[in-house]
Amino acid sequence: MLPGNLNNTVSDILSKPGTNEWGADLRLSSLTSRTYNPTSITSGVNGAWDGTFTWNPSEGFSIGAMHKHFATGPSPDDVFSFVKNRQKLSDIGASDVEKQFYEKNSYEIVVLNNATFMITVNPGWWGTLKNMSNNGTDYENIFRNQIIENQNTNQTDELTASVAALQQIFGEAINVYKAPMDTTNFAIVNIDQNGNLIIITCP
Amino acid sequence: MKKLFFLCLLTASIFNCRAQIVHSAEHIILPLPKGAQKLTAQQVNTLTSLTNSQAISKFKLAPPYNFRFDNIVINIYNIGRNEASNNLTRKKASRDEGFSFLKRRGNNSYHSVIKDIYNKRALIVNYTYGGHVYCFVDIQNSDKTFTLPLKLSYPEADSVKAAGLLDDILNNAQFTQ
Repeated sequence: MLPGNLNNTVSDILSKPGTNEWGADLRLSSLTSRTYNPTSITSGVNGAWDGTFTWNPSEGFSIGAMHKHFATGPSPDDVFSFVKNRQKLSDIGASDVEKQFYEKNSYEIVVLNNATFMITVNPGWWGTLKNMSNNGTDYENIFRNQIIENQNTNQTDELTASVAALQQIFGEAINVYKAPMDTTNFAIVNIDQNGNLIIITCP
Repeated sequence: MKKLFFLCLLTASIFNCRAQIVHSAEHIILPLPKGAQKLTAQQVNTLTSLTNSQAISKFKLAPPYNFRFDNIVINIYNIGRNEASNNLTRKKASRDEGFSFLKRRGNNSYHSVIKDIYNKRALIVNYTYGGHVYCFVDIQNSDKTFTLPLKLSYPEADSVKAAGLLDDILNNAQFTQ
């Protein structure tokens, strides 16, 4: 379940000028009520935004995060943030129920000027992602190379090439969703044989 | 007419002196250095020495044209003609953003520039990672209607040789339309 005011937060993030990413942690006030704490956006450091993960009743339960990208979609670093957060749950001694709650409900959102992307982890792939995260910088490098490879081969724009690269790297481990600007109408995206984005709408 | 003859003679001289292989594809002639070997896609995919990243990558490189000059691997793609291919300013901006992860991890090797070279432009992006240099180049005609992407990758120790090779390629590449 996404926050009801997600569009407002998207607008707040996009309204910030400059080349620094802005973002927001999306925290539930409790795991049972599934209501969100008020959201405030924060500035990234040295261009990149990193969330602050919390998991307690006073600060909230970080079930999602969102931040701005300027040209490309979600990156391996965004995928590996799931693994980092999941590890933090182990580190703080969260219960199995809480860990399962996080694995089942967590999401990362990337906001661009013309679209919003969301990624989630498919059940059964957490271990694979954890292993991959041990080479996180290598995968970020592969990703950036593969974007250019896709652009050069398919003559697509960088956003399309980046979504393709992400899916080439992570395959079934993740779901990638896209919503048109100013909406939360997320639909699964995939890549066709020519490297173009296709939207898979539910019947 | 004399000028044209001289130009043809000069061009022929350049190719004869500098290159034994001339990569000729749609709308471009690209001289490559003496000793460059053409690689099949299969040979490219079995190269094992390039990078740690490629070692754990499941991707197989298969650009349409591939060459090797000593330790320098040269991948050449098809000419791009659409807006996404020809907008070098946008490509530079997105690569600058994308590769900013290097600086955040203490790697300050990334560099990008758009250069004017005679009647051509080129976007050159390069960085060092894991002891290897990745150099992505987009060569564009003066009308900004055709862009040829290519990639050079090589061990850091071959940087001087690769820089000379890239200069030769950029200076002598000729769009035929």
